[in-house]
Amino acid sequence: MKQINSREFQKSFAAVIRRLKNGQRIEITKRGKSVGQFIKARRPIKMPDFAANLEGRDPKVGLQILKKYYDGLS
Amino acid sequence: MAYLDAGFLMTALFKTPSFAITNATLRDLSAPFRINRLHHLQVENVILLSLRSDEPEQRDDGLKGQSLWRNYLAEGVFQIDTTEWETALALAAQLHKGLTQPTPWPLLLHPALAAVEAATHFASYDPRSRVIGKALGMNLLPEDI
Repeated sequence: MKQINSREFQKSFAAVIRRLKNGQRIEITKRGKSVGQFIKARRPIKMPDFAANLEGRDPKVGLQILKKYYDGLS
Repeated sequence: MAYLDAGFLMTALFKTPSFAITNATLRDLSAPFRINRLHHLQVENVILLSLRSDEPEQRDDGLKGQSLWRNYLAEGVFQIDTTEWETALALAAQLHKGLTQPTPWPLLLHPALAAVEAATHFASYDPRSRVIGKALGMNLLPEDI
């Protein structure tokens, strides 16, 4: 994670925001020690219709596939 | 912020009997959903398993799941982020010390990652992960399974 000292963070806030990607974090330090993190907000995303996107699929087949995932964990 | 474990995430890609619960749970949250490289590897692995299946229905469903996965990533519904791996692994190892039953490590690591990410909610269908998520102070989604 990138770091920035608190004085620089206050002084260059606009530039820091511009450089960060949405959702990216930066650690704020004071005298070399971490005092917190700043996370740039994410652009809201339109929520898909998850159920509609699964329409026509057989739940039994999906269950068999997910069983492979859980079996593979052990 | 809600953290979805890999098993929960996969119920948005592969239809299971719990798809309505997954849908209702996700609709109550807001996109984008932050995920990490563990989710990425686990989802890609399950897709590959299904595509290599001897059963044609599973191969067909695997293709559909893969298509949804790629679309959701491209649209930014699921966004892969960096995370504090060392901190999460150390927490998972610490949690492992308190276990009395052998538990697959990804089921420990997902709640540990959620805690490190300061998630307020933990979405999982696995009772073993849910117990850990609750012990770490997160609210469970769905509330009951």
